[in-house]
Amino acid sequence: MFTRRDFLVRAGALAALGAAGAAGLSACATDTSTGTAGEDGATPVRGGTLTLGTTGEPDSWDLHVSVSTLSAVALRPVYDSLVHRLPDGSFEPWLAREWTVSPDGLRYTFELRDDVTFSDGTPFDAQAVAANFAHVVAPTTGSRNAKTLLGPFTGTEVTGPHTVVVVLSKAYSPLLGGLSSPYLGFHSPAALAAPVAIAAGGKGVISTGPFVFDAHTPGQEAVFRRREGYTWAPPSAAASQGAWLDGYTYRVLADDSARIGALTSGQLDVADSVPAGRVKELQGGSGLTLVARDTIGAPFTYSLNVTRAPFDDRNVRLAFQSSVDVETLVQGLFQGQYGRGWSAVTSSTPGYDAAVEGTWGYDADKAASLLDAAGFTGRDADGYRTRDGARLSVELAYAAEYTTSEQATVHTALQDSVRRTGFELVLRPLDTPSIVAVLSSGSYHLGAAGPTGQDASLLRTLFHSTLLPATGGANVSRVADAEIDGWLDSALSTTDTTEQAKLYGQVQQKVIGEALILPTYVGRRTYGTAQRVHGFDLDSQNLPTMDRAWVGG
Amino acid sequence: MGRRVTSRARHAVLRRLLAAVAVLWGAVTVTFFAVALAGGDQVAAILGPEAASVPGLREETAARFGLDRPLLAQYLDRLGGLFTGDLGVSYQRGVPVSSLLAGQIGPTLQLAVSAAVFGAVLAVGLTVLTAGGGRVARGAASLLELLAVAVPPFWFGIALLWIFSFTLGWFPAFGAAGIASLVLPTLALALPVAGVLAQVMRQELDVADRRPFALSARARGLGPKELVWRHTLRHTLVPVTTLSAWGLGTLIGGAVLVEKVFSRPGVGRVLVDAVSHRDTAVVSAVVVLAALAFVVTNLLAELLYPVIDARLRSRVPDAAPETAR
Repeated sequence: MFTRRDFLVRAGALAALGAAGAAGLSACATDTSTGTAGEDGATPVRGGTLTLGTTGEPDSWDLHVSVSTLSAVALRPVYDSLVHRLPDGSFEPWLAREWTVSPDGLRYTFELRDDVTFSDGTPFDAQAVAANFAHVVAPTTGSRNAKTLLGPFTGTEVTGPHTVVVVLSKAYSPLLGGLSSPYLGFHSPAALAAPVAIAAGGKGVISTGPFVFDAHTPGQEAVFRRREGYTWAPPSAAASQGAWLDGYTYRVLADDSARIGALTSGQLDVADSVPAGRVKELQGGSGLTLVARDTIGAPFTYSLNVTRAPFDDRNVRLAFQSSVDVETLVQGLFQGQYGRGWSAVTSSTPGYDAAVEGTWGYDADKAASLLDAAGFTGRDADGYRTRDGARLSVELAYAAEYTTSEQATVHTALQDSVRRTGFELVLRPLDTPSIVAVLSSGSYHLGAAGPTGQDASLLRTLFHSTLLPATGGANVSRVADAEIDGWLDSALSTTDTTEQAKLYGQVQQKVIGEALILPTYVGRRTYGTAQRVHGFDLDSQNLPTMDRAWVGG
Repeated sequence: MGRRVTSRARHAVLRRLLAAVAVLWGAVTVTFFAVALAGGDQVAAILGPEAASVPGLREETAARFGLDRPLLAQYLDRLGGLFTGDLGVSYQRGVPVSSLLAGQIGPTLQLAVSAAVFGAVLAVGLTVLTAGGGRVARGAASLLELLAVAVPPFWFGIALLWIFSFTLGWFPAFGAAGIASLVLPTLALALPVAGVLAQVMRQELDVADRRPFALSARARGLGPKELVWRHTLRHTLVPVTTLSAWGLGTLIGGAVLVEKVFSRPGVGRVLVDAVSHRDTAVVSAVVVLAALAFVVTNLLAELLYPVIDARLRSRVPDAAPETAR
């Protein structure tokens, strides 16, 4: 359905691509790509266009407003960022030549490049940066995502033509990560005067990137062409003489069969989001290359509401966690296309703590004895456990419209798994207003989501006591643990990545140890590319870069 | 007599206009309240579950689009806007509704008209071909008609795509450029239309066949196919016209699944998306369009009746039309 299943795409969309040869993130290892388009050693040729088929149109073409991954995917090559994130999680200069952070972490001073211009000729300078950030936080903009990336932002100071200071009210270490995402890219100040034209897409979208948004047909296609004279790619982007392609076109083919069929019959060059069930069949044939990488962020995870019985009892939560053989479930449902998650974040996410692996798993005996200890000693006629005559029944509330069919099958498989231990899992699909209301009020036992994120700072959104769903977070387990809060707050105020890794590691171990969550599969976003496509690659945030892609032969 | 006919004609036109306006008003009112009152927080539906939790965003969005005003005030605003041709701004996307719909109307009309016309042609062809055929031919035709109605258009569409686009490569799999992209979606949509029309035609033909004039025509040596073609076919055309007009109207908004499978622009897709996001601005605009389409096609059908059936022409005002059945 429709087309814009943004939350769904964001929440555990099939993340994509392992670029072979990229500097290792620990355990980028589950890479089932049959070869990366571009490793064949052929010489790139200039010219030609690429047609990509995607699943829908983003909610808005204004990255400052949009919450959909689709906008980032299509517009990454159009928008540059202040800093560029490398696969190992560190940052290199991009539009900002260098930057310093004040000791208290409240002031980030950026020295900008002085040779950057927007595609309408306007120079990129500190005033442009200030105008853009003002646009992001303005109430009239209605930012659905970009504003949260700025954190405790209070304003910008322009201290020179190419010097800008970002001022925060509290230390916020994820800021650089946010600044490296396309959602905090820069519109030309001239374009900012007509924000509706930006949201509508097409020529109203004006930025600094190697490609320019040329034309747009609502719901149908978005056409991009190369921008001449682009010379400010980040240092790690090899041989930056601008892009090889003359342009590329995104076509909306919402129906999966239609999109994959168009790829295999040669009507598309690249197909986004190849369903897991079609991957094996495409791997065989006709020169197609599959490019896939694990999600950065969280696995598709069930959160247990600790404020509601029976999950307020740790034993019952641990029993639930031990009732599911995640490995077999994921293997069986997805035929080896997806890996299983061990922690609150995926193994490809900077800050992942591998020490969590193997610390929990399927143990029917343990589950049985824990439930006995919790008082659920009886069994009723259907085989579910009971305590004082009341059945051990828990409810999973989920957004029907934003749940993919893959996720729905996991719900059913989970229902079946926990039944054997004696849990009755009731599935409760809800429409959008209802799921928002239920998550706000806490009247659920389980929630399910697979949010994407930059790095382990996602843990703050997931587990800080002040970031409940009603107050701008995703703390679906509603945990309010002083120790976890303390670690998360400390991680905010330190920019030392080793220290952060240690703190986030402790959080990951505790949330598993307390059975606040049950991680299941790690999604991947698989792109299928035709034989004539070379150099199609994804950056460290799993977004297509397009500037190294070329077509030929 | 001339003056009587003119004033009568004027009254008729006025009545039709008023009826059309009433239909449009009714459609907009019902859908507006249905979508706005569907239960739960409308702004949450507009923003989606992730954006709905961003602090302050719901209040800002409500204030920006006037969704915190009483429903009646919003409704009157909407009516006023539609009356003056201002379709408003989409709540979900923040862009003018007219820009959302601009590129969709043409292709939707193209597909609806071609599917309705082609369906009618198919039905007529099938009926004429099997006219006068024995029990086997009629049985086979009935079965085909039943299948045509029962097969879901989107499944048929995918099947057509697989055969003619992916395997044979004769037609494109997406887009709305040119006749080639119209062929497969038209086939997919025309099939159920043809099935229904053929069933109705067959019934009417049976009735007409038993009339005395048919008997005397056969007595004069007219073969079954000529009988159908020259005489009895016309008897089926009035109900077929009615059904085609209705079918065309439903295809304006109801082709959404085929639009999705063939990745064609269409107002059906826009409407479904708007309803699921409770975007009443877009819903009202599309509903007005669809209702307008219904009104126009019904008007055309009514204009065609006297052309098809001479008994319905009112040249002699005080002679009642023959309706012997």
